[in-house]
Amino acid sequence: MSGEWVLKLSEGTLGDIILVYSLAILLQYLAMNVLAFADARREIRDRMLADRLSLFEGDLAPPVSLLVPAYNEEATIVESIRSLMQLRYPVFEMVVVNDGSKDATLARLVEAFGLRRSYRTLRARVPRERVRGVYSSPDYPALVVLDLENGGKARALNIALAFSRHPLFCAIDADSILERDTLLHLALPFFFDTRVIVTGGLVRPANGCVIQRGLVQSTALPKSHLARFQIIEYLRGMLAGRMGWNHIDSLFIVSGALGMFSRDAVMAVGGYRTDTLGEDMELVMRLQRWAAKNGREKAVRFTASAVAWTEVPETTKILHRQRSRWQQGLAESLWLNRSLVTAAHFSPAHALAFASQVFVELLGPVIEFAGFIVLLALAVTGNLATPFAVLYLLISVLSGTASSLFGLLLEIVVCPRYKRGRDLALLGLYAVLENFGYRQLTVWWRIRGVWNALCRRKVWGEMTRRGHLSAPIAVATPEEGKAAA
Amino acid sequence: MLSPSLESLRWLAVASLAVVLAIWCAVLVLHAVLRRRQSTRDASANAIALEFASLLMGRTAPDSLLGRLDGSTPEVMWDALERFSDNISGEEWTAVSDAINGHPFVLAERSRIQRGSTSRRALAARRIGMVNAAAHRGLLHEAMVAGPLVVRLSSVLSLARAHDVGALRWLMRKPDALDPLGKHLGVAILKRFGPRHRSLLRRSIECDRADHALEVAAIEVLGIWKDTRSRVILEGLLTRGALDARVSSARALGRIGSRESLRVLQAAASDEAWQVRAQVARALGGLRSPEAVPTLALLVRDTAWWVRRNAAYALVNHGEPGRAALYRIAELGHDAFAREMAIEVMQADLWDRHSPGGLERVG
Repeated sequence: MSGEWVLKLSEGTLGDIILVYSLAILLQYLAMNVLAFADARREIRDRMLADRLSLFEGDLAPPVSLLVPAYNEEATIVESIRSLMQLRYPVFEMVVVNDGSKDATLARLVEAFGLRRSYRTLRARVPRERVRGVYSSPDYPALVVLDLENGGKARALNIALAFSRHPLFCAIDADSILERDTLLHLALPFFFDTRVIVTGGLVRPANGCVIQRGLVQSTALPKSHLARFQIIEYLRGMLAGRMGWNHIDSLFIVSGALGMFSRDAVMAVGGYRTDTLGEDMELVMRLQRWAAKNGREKAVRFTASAVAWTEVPETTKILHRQRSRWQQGLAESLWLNRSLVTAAHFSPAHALAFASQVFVELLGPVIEFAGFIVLLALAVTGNLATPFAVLYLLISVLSGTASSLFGLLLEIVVCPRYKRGRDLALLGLYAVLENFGYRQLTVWWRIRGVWNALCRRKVWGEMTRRGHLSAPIAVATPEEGKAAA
Repeated sequence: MLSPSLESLRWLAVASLAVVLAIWCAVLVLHAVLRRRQSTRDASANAIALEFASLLMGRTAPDSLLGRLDGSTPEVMWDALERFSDNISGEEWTAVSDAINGHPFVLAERSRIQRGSTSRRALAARRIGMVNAAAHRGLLHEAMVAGPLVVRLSSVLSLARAHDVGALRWLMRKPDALDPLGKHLGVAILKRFGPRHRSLLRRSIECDRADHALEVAAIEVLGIWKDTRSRVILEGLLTRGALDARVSSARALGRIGSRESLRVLQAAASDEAWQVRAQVARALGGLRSPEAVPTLALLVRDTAWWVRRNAAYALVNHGEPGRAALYRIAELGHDAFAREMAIEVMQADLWDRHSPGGLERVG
């Protein structure tokens, strides 16, 4: 009896909705991949034309403030800052924010860089009572460390902004490792086009890579299956997806771990919002809205040449928290910027991108989950050989695998980092395998994120770092610090 | 609604599998091909760059170099030339250019600058700009005038590399030609033309306002080159120019550092725009005249953070009188913002005496 009920369900309207929705998602992924390849062509062409080194000589490059919020990062913070000091960029300062860490993050910084309490004036109004202290060092003049009461990443960034001096700022995660030319690549669009207000780069999992002296020396796949699945996911979502939207000037999300912003534009829209978990995506959406209102096209850009490496979770517990948080952040950002739907100054491409965020990224997991449940019920009742089950499996696996493989292809074309063919073959295998278990897990976590958003629950969670940066790193002397600054 | 037969679905499944396998194979093949091509190209480009070096040292004859180029591809040759020409003198560049000027790879680019897609024309402009020969300048001029923007920029950069005065003259006659690109890029381009043509830049800013980014860039460049003869023009622009022109003029006057600008700068210290006042404060710091100290002490109490900051750091540049003024503000001042700024700068100054260099970086 129950088997018939499931059969009827799968053959009825629900089954049709699931199939049509899945097919639409497949088509969107394919379209995004085509656009991403067009964008890759543009990026390669720009790279051939860019005369970056000679244009960035002397004091011509716009100075950049690196904002580094840190919470319980004692394992990696010193090495992270030393790695940032090695970046190839004419003028930049680092504003590190210890956001009320419970561990010895501040003590490590004070000890490593000989920091002392110092006086710093603020450029903007922020709640001063949250600032417990400002530290800097005569030997590292471009490094400022702020010690704050814990208040979340968005508050930390807003206060860091008030202490920063330069017209561009780059918000990065404390555990990220930037490639030496990353700032150069991120700043280049600002240099060439006065309309640009945000540039985003590519974040890649560092697990498995060999890291020495704060730089990624060689790339390899991690041993953890979970981390391998995430490599595939990052290439699909953060490379192919973003390049695709970038090509039609409708990029709404820039990774919080690597984005460069015009300080004036961010101040004009009021800085980071503190009432959302997705403060980075919300800010980019608000900036897109502001840019469209002011008639500034191509205000948000993505460049795959700018790369940051970051440690991704290797346990399901932490990954679960991270994915729920991301999805909750997306839901909140879309809700806070819902007026985009009716904004007259928005282009059709913007509207399409917004609809995609809502129907594919936000609600997609719900439909996908419904499909898995029906599929499971069909399997349990011995009805797996039905047109619905076969078609759904086909669409689902094909869309996941094909878009992941396209992501790999893009990686090879536009920003190749994996040297060994064996690694790529393995990643290809993981692109198939992720459809059987991993994807269902992430779908469930994302639904939990949407639910948390609906319940207005704030769950930040803590990421336990293994300290992938703790490989031997040369101790920078004060002179090197000054030179790097 | 959607109820295909199982038989057709089987075919669909096989087709999907084939698609997935095809993309997987494409990944592996493309990776292998691109890697091999890149390593071969790198090796060949290095070898040709060595040939260029041998030519300059007289160990290789031009004919032998051309023979070597015949055996390579255009991409390899341009890659090698790009790597090589970054670190050579003007004479060496001319010698290499003379040797390869008539080569078919160069001639092919000459035809591509005239027709083809926009990006290909821009690339051709960039490439033939790497060959220093008068014969190419006409083509580059045409491309610069015809545009579009990306081709124009590429052509201008090539012509600037050759210090082509005609191109500079055209640019300064049409300062809106590169407008969407902004001031920073304008500065980079004008600097590349070299200081020999500074009189042209001077003439180009002899106007009332200097509205265009390229005119503002010209002001900046004259400041960078410390062109004392443009002082009077800059002082005029500081008084009556557009906002960007006033900001850049103040900065340029600071770089020139002539004490004769003191009065004009002091007058501009009450400009309505804080951006101008901030640059005036910095410029007054560069003059090192004790007469600037009272003005700077007033600017430390400005409402804008940047003005207070630049004025406080500028006071340190004035040595003991400046330090004394800062001390008075920190100790006796009623303005809390000015006091805070004075304390910040006094600490930076103190640290700088123990570990020199820091103040220069942050000031």
